[in-house]
Amino acid sequence: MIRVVLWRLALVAGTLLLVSIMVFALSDVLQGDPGRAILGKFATAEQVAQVDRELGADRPLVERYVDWAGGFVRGDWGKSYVMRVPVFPLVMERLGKSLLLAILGILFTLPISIALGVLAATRRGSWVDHTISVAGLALVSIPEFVSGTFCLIVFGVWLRWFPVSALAPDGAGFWDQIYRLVLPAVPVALLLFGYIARMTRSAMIEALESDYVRTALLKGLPGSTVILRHALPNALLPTISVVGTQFGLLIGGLVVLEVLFNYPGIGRLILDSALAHDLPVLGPAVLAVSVVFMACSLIADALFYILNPRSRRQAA
Amino acid sequence: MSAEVASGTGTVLPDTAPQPGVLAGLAISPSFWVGVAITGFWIAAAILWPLLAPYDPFKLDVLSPLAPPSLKHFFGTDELGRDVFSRVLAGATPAMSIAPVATLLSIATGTTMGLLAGYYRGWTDALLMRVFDAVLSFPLVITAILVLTTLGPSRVNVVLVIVILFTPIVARTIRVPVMAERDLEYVAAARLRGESAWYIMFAEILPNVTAVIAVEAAVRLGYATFAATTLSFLGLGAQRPSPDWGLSIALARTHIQVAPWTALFPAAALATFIVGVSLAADAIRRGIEE
Repeated sequence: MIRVVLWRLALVAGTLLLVSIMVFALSDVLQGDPGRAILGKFATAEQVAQVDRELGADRPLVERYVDWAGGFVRGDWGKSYVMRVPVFPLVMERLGKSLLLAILGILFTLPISIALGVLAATRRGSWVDHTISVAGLALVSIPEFVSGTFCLIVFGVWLRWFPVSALAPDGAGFWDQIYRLVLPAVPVALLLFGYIARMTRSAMIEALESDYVRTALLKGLPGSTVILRHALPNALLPTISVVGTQFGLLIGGLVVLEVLFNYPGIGRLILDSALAHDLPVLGPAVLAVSVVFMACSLIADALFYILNPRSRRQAA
Repeated sequence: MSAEVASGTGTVLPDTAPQPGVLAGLAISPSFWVGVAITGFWIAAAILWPLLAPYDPFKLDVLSPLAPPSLKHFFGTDELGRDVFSRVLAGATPAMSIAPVATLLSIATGTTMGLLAGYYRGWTDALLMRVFDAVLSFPLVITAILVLTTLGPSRVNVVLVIVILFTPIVARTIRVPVMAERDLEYVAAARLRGESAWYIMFAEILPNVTAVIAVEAAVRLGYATFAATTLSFLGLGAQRPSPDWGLSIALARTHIQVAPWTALFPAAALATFIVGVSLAADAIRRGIEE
């Protein structure tokens, strides 16, 4: 058991190391020659070399990488070129904003997707099942900026139920911010609906065909009790894994909705800093997104393990 | 493009070539025909728009910007007075050109990687899988942003980015049946005959995993369209004055409150096309799996 956990953590560490190397290499390419960038194209080669030496940019690549990665781990993330603010609080604030939107989207979609997934499983092969699966497929394939545009036009422009910009003005309360996030959370929910419903449906079908469900039915328990108390808890296990992984990918993956609804999350921070070549922000922001993803999939694995009676028994 | 969608890995399929029954199954599947009809309509629009469009989609008319839909302009006009109906039809061309090329290339590279990982296993497999995990360990859209800002936005680079992102996904899907095939007797026989590893991978194993590849290609086509239009929306793909649907929606965002039609119709076009492709792809997948 301990070996499994250690192996899993080693894998995460290895992947993070690879990601950080990729991010570093990419920002190195994006940066070009810092001395040349500062002095302009009329400076002599000696002047450029002088500035590079002062900045430490002439050191070997590996040395600079270790320096950079060390700074990231210590929380010493430097200052933004463009916004002139420390990077650490900036990234954390934006991460929080994206987290809020992702959580809202998950909260919208979970009850409906699980309920419809269970319904589809119990009515397998019926028109209800077909409708749910075709709707799920269609919703999964539509880009979120397209469904977001529909929401924006219908509920923001025509009905005027929600504002077209998701960012609450300074000093607005928490509930005002939540209200403004309802519209952008709908496309998130629609996108995830297909996955979660499909996963719940197939896990539920498997559970319904199992021996313990047949036993429960044969000993005379009502169908609804069997479905809710016996089959559903087991069927939710794979769903939890999917939600964990998807949630990790949502953080940062919401950039399109953040642009469409004018909401400053971490995805838009990455887009803006990449476009502006604001490298002190770009690297840590991307790494932070990656760390969040890894953490989410670890938590999902842990939850799966804790909730699965079989793995509990093995450990005992 | 949302990462969760593009990273949806394919299902493991029976490792056989398509059976004749597949075609019969497709013929009676209504969602397949709906999908084919919608996709066919947009393919026709991509080719025939110069004949169908009532106006030149690039011609400015500064005297009637943001005109609402009317009999003169079915879908209204955009901020430069261009006819939205004509631009929506012409927008089928960029949608139809980037995604299929990117899909074909991703399938080629992904299949090669999948064959290598599944055939050699051991450290080749471990190394490839680690690299793929790293690529897929943050949202695909973020990777795409990083690569495109490094290389600069262009159609060729959009294709390149999609290939970079989809190769690991395709490879992971192909690797599983390849591993199963590799243990079969015909592979052992080929090895005993002294065939080279490349010959065994491409001439012996590849023909037996074509069903998996076909399904993966169909599914990837939908996601490639998703990816390409998302990048256009973010300003990293098609550039002005292209009638690209994603770009049109992004540009329409600033005046969506006064002229929602400029965003609505390109969005509807994109939604129908993508749903059409996925319906057809899903019907093909089910046809082969059953």
